[in-house]
Amino acid sequence: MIVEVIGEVVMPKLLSYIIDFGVDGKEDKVPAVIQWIYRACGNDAFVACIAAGMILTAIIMMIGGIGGAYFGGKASVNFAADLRADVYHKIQKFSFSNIDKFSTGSLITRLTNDITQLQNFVNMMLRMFFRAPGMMIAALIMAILMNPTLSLVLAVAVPILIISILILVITGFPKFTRMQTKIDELNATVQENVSNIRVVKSFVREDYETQKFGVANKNLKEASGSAMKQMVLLQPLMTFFMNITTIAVFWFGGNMLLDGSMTTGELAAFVTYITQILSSLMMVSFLFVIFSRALASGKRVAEILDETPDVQDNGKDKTFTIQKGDIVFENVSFRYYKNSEESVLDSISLHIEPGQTIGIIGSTGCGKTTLVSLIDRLYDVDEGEVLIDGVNVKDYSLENLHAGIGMVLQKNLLFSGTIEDNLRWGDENASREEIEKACQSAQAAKFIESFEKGYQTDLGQGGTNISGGQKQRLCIARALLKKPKILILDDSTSAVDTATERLIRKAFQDNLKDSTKIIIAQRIDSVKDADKIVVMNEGKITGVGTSEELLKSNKEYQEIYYSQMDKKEGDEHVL
Amino acid sequence: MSSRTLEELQKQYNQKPQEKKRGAFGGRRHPPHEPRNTSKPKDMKKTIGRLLSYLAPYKFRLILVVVCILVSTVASLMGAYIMRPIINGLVGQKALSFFGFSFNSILHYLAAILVVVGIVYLVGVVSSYLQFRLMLSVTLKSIEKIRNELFQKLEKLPVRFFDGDSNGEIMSRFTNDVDNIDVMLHNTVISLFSGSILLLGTFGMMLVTNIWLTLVTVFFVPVFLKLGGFIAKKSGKYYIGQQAALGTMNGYIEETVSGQKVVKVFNHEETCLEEFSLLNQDLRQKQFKAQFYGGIMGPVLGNTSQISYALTAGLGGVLCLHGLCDIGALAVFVNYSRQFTRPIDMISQQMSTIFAALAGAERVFAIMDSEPETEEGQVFSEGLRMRGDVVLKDVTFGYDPEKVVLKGISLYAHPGQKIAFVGSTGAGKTTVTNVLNRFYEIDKGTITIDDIPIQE
Repeated sequence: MIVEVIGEVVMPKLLSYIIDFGVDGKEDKVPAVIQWIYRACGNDAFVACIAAGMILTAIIMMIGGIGGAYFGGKASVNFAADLRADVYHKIQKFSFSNIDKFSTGSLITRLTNDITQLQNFVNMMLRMFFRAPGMMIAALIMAILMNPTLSLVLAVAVPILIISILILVITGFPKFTRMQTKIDELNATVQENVSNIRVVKSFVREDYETQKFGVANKNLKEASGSAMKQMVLLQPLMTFFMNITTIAVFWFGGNMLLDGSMTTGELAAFVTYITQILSSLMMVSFLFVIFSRALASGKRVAEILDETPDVQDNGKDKTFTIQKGDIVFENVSFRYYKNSEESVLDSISLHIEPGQTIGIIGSTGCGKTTLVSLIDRLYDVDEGEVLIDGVNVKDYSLENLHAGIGMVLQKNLLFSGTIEDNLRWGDENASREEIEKACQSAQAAKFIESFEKGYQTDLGQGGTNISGGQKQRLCIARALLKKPKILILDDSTSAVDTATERLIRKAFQDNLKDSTKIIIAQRIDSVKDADKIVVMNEGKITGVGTSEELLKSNKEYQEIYYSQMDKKEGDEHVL
Repeated sequence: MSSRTLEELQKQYNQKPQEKKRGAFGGRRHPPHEPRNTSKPKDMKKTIGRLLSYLAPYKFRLILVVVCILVSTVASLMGAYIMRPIINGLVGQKALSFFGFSFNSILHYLAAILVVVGIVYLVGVVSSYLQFRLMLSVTLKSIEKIRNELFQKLEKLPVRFFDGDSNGEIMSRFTNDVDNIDVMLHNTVISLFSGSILLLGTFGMMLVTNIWLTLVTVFFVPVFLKLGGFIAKKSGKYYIGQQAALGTMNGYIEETVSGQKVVKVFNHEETCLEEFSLLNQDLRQKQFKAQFYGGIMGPVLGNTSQISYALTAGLGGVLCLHGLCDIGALAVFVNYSRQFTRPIDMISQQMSTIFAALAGAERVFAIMDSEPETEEGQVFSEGLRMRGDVVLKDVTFGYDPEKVVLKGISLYAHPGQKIAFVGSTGAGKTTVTNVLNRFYEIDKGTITIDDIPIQE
């Protein structure tokens, strides 16, 4: 880089020697070496010598430039790769509440777009940040050395240029921000329409939406118009200043030349320096624009890196593992947002004995999912304790805790790869028999075998090529393969029809006798035969008992039960 | 599960476009991670023609833009040429005459030339501002029109269309693709045009200034093209590799981060990290090569032009000594020879923008060209109140032509009746309501509401 810069400023100087010496034959005011070469060679050979010197400089510059690209590329690529790895590592450590805070969508953009943006910036910066100012300073020094008086022109031109760039950028900045908001608005309209196209069509709102979009589009046009107008000014303005400076240099320089205080070659070189100085100034201003954009990305990435995972893995004894599956909640309270008044769970106490099947039922938003999430320590309790086999969940290592609990989440996901790949998430060393057995229990074996490639069927990204019910059954099979001491199904059979669901429950009773099973459900049918049913309402447990007991004593259970019985009888007829 | 190998990961996360079911899109589907810039447009001529049709209403303005470009380019060429009489006058080699006027004092001479130069510069600056301004308004209006048309079309497309392409895919038409077109209209049109004029103009001025020195430059042109072409080919190759690796990486990130909660519950963090670093390493290597070759383009070409500059200067010096060239001409010429490579550079840099924009335009037009819902029935559309007498007769339908979901369904629902659908998952309950709403067209049979077929 530095080699390049030096080369760039040496070139015009060499040219000035050709003009002055070779042609004009002036000998004063030049380094002794050049004089010596001149005397030794004579005119023609001297010109050839200097030209050779220029070619040599160019080659050295080329090598310098290639070196610059090599190291610059290496640095920016490594920077991005390391940053990406750091962020990804950090996300792996995030608890559920950390993930919720950022939302997965924004985590993904930060990992992809923002990092790419930063990488581009680093790359540009390495290429230009040293080069442009370096060039400016070097050219400035050469210019002053060559002719201090004439350099005074620069003393006027440079500040004016800097100030006008600053004015443009500063006044332009809010306009760009406004443009960005308009872009976001437009995208929001499109996003809304694309994902809710059925609603739009059902309510015949196409024309209205099109009109709405037209307005957003027009706003964007106006906002970007006013921002771009500003930027369009930049280049002609720069050229204008550059030209005026050139004219001034010619005028003053011309006068000096006539005085004899400057040579023709010097004048030509000086003009080149002026151009170099002003254009590197322009580059610097351009850099600031990129810099402000990269800064925004940098902030977003830094937010991830600065976030502290709020579930810390500091289990005292790494050897604790879940043996029986005895779960105790003691006065547990929990809030998703630490400063909110309402608790999602309000002093819950509950004892679940090993091997039992527990059903949890209650209206949406009453805290069922939150309750079971605390067992797997997806969130940490605010007050109280959760104990498994008499040991606080915080004292298990996260790995052992997760290994002992099979959890089928409400929003469950499969990953790219074959069905078998996905099932092996549960146990990577599972034998073929174990996999098939788990699938039979989850009532998934039949449809898997009906596929042409069976267990080797490729699931498109996220399992887009199978139905919702099939997906849920695969997720259950995946959790079963863990052979967990505690199995938690969070509304995981909602898309499975009642008959199949019954078979799954039966398989649990036969094959998972020793495991504690917790089932969250909307349908009474799913929990009716459980050893214990927990009824929840607004973060509190309102009743615990068998179905018969609750039917006698618990008002909410009665309500849910009778509201579903009519429907259930209907179901039974069809089946 | 043990972590997968790099090849497996690449295969799974960077799949080739899958044959789509039976799409409003003519079976063409761009997966979300397809490297955008490398996908070459298929029918360039047609796409360019269609893009130009959006510019057509602004013919007058575009002509003005062209005039402005001409004026500003000529101004910049003249501005550079003006050095010659100045230097010659100062050196005292030629008589002090300028445009037929002769001057007694050198200072008057200098002042007169500089005034002319000032005017030329001013004209150049004003016309270059005008050209950007005019182009800006044309671009903004065309882009607004393209966006509006795209959205209108989107609202008219059948629901089936939205099943095939992921939402992110459609979004990216509005953002990436339209933006690419925007950038092209903004910069490329002007750069291409003024670049070529500058190239021709510079060449012409060089010939006028000195034929011998022009030969040196001409000699360097093929050297340039060869070198540039070689590096561009190399960097293009690695660029494709980099984009593919980036696509794989982003696909992997998208999936695992979306499924982060599952990853945690299954203690899968370690595997993810292993697979991630495998992909990251691969990306690092490919990206480096792409960046390196992209990065040396500038220095190599730039310094080749410096060599040509040096040779020109050397030869020019010798010519001057033997009186075949004046000093002013030499000073002007070396500047031209530097300038000469700039348009070539500029045009070659624009090529990737153009390809990206054309590919984007093609995707945008593909949406615009896809079949909308057919709307034949105008007669009954207004003023008629539906009673709600629904009759399905022999309705056969499948989302996928090979997989029939509804097989010869017939049923009646009289006004005011409440009809319930019960059945196991995948039985076709939702499908009945979908075809009733005409979200999809049925394959066989008829659906009538109040005895009027729903198509009408």
